[in-house]
Amino acid sequence: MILILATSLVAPSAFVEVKAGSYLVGKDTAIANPRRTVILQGFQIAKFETTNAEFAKFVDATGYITDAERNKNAMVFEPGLRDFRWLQDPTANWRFPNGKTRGGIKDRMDHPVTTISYRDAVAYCKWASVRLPNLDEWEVASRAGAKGDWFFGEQKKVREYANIWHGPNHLKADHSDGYMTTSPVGKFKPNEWGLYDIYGNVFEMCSGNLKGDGKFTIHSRGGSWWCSKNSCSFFNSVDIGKVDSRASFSNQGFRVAR
Amino acid sequence: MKKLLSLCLAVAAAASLFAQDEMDGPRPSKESLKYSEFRSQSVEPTWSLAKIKGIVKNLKEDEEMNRRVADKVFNSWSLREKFTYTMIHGEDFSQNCDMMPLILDEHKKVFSYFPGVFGDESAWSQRQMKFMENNRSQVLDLIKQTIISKKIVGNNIKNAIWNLNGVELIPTLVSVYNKDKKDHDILTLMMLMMKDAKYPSFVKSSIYKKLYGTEENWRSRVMYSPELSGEVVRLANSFYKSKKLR
Repeated sequence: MILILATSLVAPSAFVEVKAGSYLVGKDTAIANPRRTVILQGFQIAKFETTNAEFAKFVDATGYITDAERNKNAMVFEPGLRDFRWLQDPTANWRFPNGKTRGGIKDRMDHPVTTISYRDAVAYCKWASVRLPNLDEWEVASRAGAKGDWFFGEQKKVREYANIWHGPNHLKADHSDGYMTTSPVGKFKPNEWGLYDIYGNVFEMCSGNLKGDGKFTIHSRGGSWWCSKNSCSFFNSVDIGKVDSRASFSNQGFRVAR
Repeated sequence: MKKLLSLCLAVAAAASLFAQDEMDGPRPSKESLKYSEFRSQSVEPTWSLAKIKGIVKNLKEDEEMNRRVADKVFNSWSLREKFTYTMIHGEDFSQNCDMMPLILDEHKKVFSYFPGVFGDESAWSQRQMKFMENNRSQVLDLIKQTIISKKIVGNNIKNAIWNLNGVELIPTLVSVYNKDKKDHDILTLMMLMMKDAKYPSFVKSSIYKKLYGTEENWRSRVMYSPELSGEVVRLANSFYKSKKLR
C-alpha cells in the first residue's frame, strides 16, 4: 500500500531525444575511452535515473526477486570505512539499500533505485520495454555537446549539478549538500539537454563491453553520491567504471533508453 | 609564413608535452607499461598453494555468486592456509573502478596510493579482514616470510600491510626498496602508514602536501628523484623508531 501510494507521487520518466549523427567522445589520455568520433542512430534517453517507485511497479507487477534479495550479498556503505571499502550486508537489497539497520525506502520513493545488479536492471528494462543505454550513447547524452570532461566546464562547478561526496574521506558522514547517500532525482541542475543527475547520485549501468572484459564484467558511468574529488572523482563524461555483473552496490543504479 | 606556423605548432606541441604526463601522442615506453603491470601484480604465498588455488578457481566461476568458502571449511584451515587463501582471493565484489589513465614514464613516478588489492575484480571481505586483524602478529610474520622468499612486495602484500598498519615491517620494506629502488609503491606504502598516523614530521613535509593535500586524490603523483626517495626512507625510519618497535 505504501509503495502504491508513493508511486503515484512520482512522475513517469520523461525522455530526451538524441538525434542520429556523429559525435565526439572520449579523451586523448583515457585508455578505456580514447578520443574518437562515433556514429549513433537516434535514440531517447530518460531525463531521470530510474526511481524506487518505478522499480516498485515492476516488482509489484512481476513478483521479481532481485539478486541481492536472493543471494544476500549486497555491498553497502556506512561512514567510518576507509576509502573504497564497502561492507557486505545480507539484509540489504533495493528496499533497504544500505541494510535494514540503516533504513528503508519508504520516504525515498523518488530516489534512484540502488542495490540492484545488472541482471536486475535488464529485467526491469525488459518489463518496461526500454533498454540500458550503451556506453557511447550514455556519454553523448551526458556531454550534451560539450567536449571536455564535464558538461558544465570546470570540476569546481560540480556541486551545482551533482550529488557527490564532499568530505576529504569517508571516515565521517558528509551531509554538506543535503544528502549523505542518494538524493531524490532531479534535485540538482540538469545538463544542456535536460538530463538530471547524469553525474553523481548513482553509477549508471550501461550495456556494452570493453577490450579485456571478463565473463562477468559490466560497466557503469557518471560516478555516484560516494565519489569525491579526493577519491575516484568519476563524476565526469570520460571515466568508465567496471564492476561484476552479479554485484549489487548501494551506489549503483541505472537510467533507461529506447 | 608557413614555416613560422609550423615552428609555432612544433613549439606548442613540445611545450604541452612537458606540461603534463597524460596526453595524446607519445605513448608510454615498454618500461613504463611493464612497471604499470607490475604495480598491480599479487604474489602467491607458497603454503598449500595448489590446494587453495583449486578451490578459488571454482569460486570465481560460480554462477550463483558464491564467492566464499563455507565458514566450516574456512575455520578448518590452518592459519597459513587461511593466509594463502586471503592473499590470492577476495570474497567481496569491488566497486566500480577505472583503469588508471595512460601515464608516461610511470616507473619514474611516486604515487599517493597504489592500486587496490586484486585490481578491479574483487575485494577482501569482512571475514578476511577480521582474520588478518585477529591474527595480526602471525600474519605480519607470514607477510615478512613471503617478502623475503619472493624478494618483492606484491600489491596484495602492500594492501595487507597497509590494512594492518604494519609499521613493524618498515625495516624489511626499506631493505627491499633499497636493493634496486625501483618499486616506488613501497615508498607509497610507508607514506600511507605515516599519513594514517598523522606523523608530524611527514605531515609537515612538502611531499605530503604534493600527494595528500586538500586538492589531491588517488591519482596524484610526483616525479621520482633520489632526494625524494631518500627523504621518504629517512622519515619512515624515524617514524619506525618513534614507535619504539625495535
